[in-house]
Amino acid sequence: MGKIGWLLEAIKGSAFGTKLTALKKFLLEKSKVDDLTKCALCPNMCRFACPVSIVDAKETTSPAGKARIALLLRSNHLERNSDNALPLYYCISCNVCSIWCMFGFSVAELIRPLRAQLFKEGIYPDSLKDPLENLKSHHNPFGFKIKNTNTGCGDTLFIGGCFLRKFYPNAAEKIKAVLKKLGYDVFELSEEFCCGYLAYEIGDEELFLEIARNNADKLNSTHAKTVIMACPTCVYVYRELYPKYKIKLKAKVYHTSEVIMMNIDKLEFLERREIVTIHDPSKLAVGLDKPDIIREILSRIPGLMVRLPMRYGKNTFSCGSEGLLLHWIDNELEKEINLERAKELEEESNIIITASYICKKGLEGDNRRVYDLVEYIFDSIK
Amino acid sequence: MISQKEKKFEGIYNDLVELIGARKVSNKIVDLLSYSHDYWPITLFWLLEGKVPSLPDVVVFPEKTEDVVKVVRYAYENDVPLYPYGGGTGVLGGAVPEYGGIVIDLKKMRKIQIFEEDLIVEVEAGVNGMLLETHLNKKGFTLGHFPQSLYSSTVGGWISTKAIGQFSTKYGGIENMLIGLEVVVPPGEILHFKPNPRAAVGPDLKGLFIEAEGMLGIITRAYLRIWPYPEKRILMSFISDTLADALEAVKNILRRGAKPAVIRIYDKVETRKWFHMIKRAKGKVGTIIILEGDSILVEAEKHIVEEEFKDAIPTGEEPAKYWLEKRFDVKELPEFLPLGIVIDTIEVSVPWSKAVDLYNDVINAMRNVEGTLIAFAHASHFYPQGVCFYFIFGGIPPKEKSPLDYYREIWNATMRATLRNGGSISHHHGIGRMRAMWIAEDLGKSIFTFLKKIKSAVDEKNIMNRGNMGV
Repeated sequence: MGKIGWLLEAIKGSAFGTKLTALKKFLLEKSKVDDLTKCALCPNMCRFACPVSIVDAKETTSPAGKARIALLLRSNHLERNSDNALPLYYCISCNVCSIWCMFGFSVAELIRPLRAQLFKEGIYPDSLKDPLENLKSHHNPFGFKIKNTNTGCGDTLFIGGCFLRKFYPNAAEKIKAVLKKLGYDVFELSEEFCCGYLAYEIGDEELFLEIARNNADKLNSTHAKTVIMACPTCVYVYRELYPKYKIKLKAKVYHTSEVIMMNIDKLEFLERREIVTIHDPSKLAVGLDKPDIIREILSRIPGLMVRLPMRYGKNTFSCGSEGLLLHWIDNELEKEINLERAKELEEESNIIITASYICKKGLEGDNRRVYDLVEYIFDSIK
Repeated sequence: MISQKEKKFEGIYNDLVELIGARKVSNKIVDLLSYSHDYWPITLFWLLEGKVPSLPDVVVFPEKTEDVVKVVRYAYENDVPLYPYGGGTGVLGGAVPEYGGIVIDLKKMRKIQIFEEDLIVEVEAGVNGMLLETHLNKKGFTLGHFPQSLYSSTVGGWISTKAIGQFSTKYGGIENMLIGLEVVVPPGEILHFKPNPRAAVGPDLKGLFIEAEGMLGIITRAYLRIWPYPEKRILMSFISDTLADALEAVKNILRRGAKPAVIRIYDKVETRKWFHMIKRAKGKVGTIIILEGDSILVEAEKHIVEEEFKDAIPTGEEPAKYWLEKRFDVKELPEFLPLGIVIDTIEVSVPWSKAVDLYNDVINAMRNVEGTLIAFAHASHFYPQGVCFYFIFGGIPPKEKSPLDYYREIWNATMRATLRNGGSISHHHGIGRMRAMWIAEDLGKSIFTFLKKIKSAVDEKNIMNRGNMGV
C-alpha cells in the first residue's frame, strides 16, 4: 500500500463517471497546476517564519497573500499597475519559507517571473528607480565609485562588496589581516562593481545579465584561483545565480566565514570570557546552506559562551535589510524588522555576532555591540 | 477585473486616518482584496476565477488596545460594520466582510509576557500560534495547543472560534486554557477579565466571547494556562478490526483517568494513508496514541493504553512518527482545488452511545451526493462523554450543478445526518457563514433567540461581524 495508493482505494466506492472524470483530471491536468497557484491556495503555513509577514502583519504581504496578488495580476483579474504590484516587492528573499513549505517553495522565486514580466511593462516601485539608475551609472545601488588601492594580481582576490565599501570602508583592512593569518595574500580590483542582486530582485533580467557577464569577465581576466567575499549575498549571487544563467567563473568563490572554517587550525585564539549570541544571515544559512558555520567557528574560541537565539540556523529570522529591497521601498518596515530581530537577540546577549555587514548595520543600536564574524575573529586571535 | 465598484461607506478612510494614523489604515484595492475572504474553500474556488465574496471599504491595523477602542467607537457612532481578522485560517467564512465596512486586523498586536511561577502567559490577540509556542519552548514551557493552523493562526482567532489542537485530550481546547481576557465591546469600552486560577464572581462572562466569532466584541488580549515542557514522550499505534473496537478501547482509557495527549482513530479508508508502512493494516482501523508529560505518569498511562488495546495488534512507533512529520501538511486543497475538485472538512461531535451510528450515517450521506469521489473520517478529540469525528470529502460537481450547489448539497447532507444522530454540528471550526442555516436547529429555537437577545444587548447597532452565524 503506497503513499498515494490509498487515494485510489478511497475513490473505489464512487460512481463510475465521477471516478473517470477524476482520473482524467488527475492524469491530464494535475501537472498543469503551477506552483504559484498552489502557493496562493495555501493557508500561509510559512507565515510565522516570514519576517515581513510577522512584522508588517498584513494579509497582503503574507507569503500566500503575495502569491494571490501575483496570481490575479498574472491572470489580469487585477489591474497591472505599480500600486497593485507593490506587495510583490515586500520580500527579503531570505527563503526561510522554503524550509517550512510542504512543497519546498520559495515565495521569492515563485513571484520573480512576474516581477520580470512587470518590469518589461515598465511596472515596478518608483522608490527603486534611483538605486536602479545608480546601478547603471555607478555600478552599485548607492551611487558612489568604489576605488581600491591594494590592486595587483595573485591567486586570491578579495571583494568587499558595495555595502561594506560604502558603510564600513575601514573594515576591509581587518578582513585582509585575518585572511593573511589564514594564508591568503589577497589583492583587490581597482574598481569593484555590484554583483547585480538588486537588478535580479527588481526583475531587470537584462541588466542583471549584463552585470553578471561583466563581473565574470573581470574576474576571469585576473587569473585568480580563489575569490573571497565579505558579503554572503554576493557569494550567493556569484556561486548560485550566475551558473543558473550559464555564466562561468574560473575561480572558486567563498565567503570569509568559509575560508576561516577551512583554515581554522591556523588561528591561535585568545581566551574570551564573555557571553555572545549569533545572528545567522539568511543568505549564509539558507542560500549557501551553511546554517552552523558561525557557531562552529565561535566554538573554537576558548572561554566564549554562545547563546542561541530563539530562531537560528536555517530557521533564522532575517534582520530585514538583506536583499536591500525593503530599504528602498519601505524603510520604516525595514527598521521595524531590524528592531524585532535585535530585541530577540538581546534576550541572550548584547554582544551579537553575525557574518554580513548588511546585517551588522541592520542590527546596530545604542545598547548593542554588533560584530561581523571576521571583526570578532580579528579581536580574538594572537 | 476586480475593483471596488461602489464604496458602501463614504469618507471612512479619511476619518480613520485622522483617528489612528495613515500607516494603520488602508483602502488600497490589494488590501481590500486580501481581506475579502478567509480560508473558506468555496471562496478560494472563486478566487481562482477572479471573483471575490465581498470587499470591505477599509482595513485597519491597530497596534494597541486604544486603537481598537477608537475604531469600535467610530464604527458604533457611524453605523459601520466591523469585522475582526486574525490569521484568516477560518474555513467557514466567519471573517468575510459581507456588508462592507471596516476589517480590523489584529496581527500588529503581538506582545508576549510569561509569568513563570503562575504558569500563565499574557498575549496580545494578534500573536501567531507557532511564534507563541516557540517562545514558550525556549523558556521551558508549552501551551499544548497545536491546531493544524498553528503556523498561521492567531490567539485571538483561536478564542473567537473555540479552537482545539491535536494534543487536546491532555491539554484541552482553548476554552480550557483561557483564564483571563481583554475585549473591546461597542460602543468602545474595554472589558478586562483578570486572570485567576478560578473565580466564582457572577456568571462566567468571558465565556461569552469564546466562539463568538467577533460578533460581540474584539478580543485584544488573553491570559492562557501554560505547562512545563513535557519531560517524556511515548509514541504508540494499534490496529483494530472495527471502528467500534477502537472507540471502545479509547473510551475505557479515558474512563480510567489516563489522558493521552494525542489519540487519532482512522477509519478503514484513512488508515491506509497513515498506516501505509504497515502491510497488515489493510482493511483495519488504525489508532495513533502519543503520551507526554512527567515520565512516571506517562509510563502509567502507557500501561493503561496497552491493557485497553489488548485485543488489537500493536504496530509500533512508525505510524505516530509519520503523523508527527506530516501533521501540518495541507497539500490537498492547493493540489486538487485547481482541478475543479471540491474538497472540504467537516467536524462534528457526538456522545459515545451514538458515535458509530453517526459515523456510518454521515459517510453514507456524503457518498450519496452525486459527484462525491471520496468520503472518509477520523476521530481526533476525545472526552469521557464522547468523541469528535473529522469528515473529509472531495467531489466533482456534476455538469448540471455549480461547485457551490454541490458544496451546499454535501454540507446539508452531513449536517442533517449529524443532527438526526444527536450530534453537534460543530466541534471546533465554528459556525461562520457556512453553517448559519443549521445553528438554530442545533441550539434549539429558544437558545438561538437567547443568543440573538445577547447580541442585540451587547451590540445594539449590529456592527460586529454583521451577518455572521445568521444572528
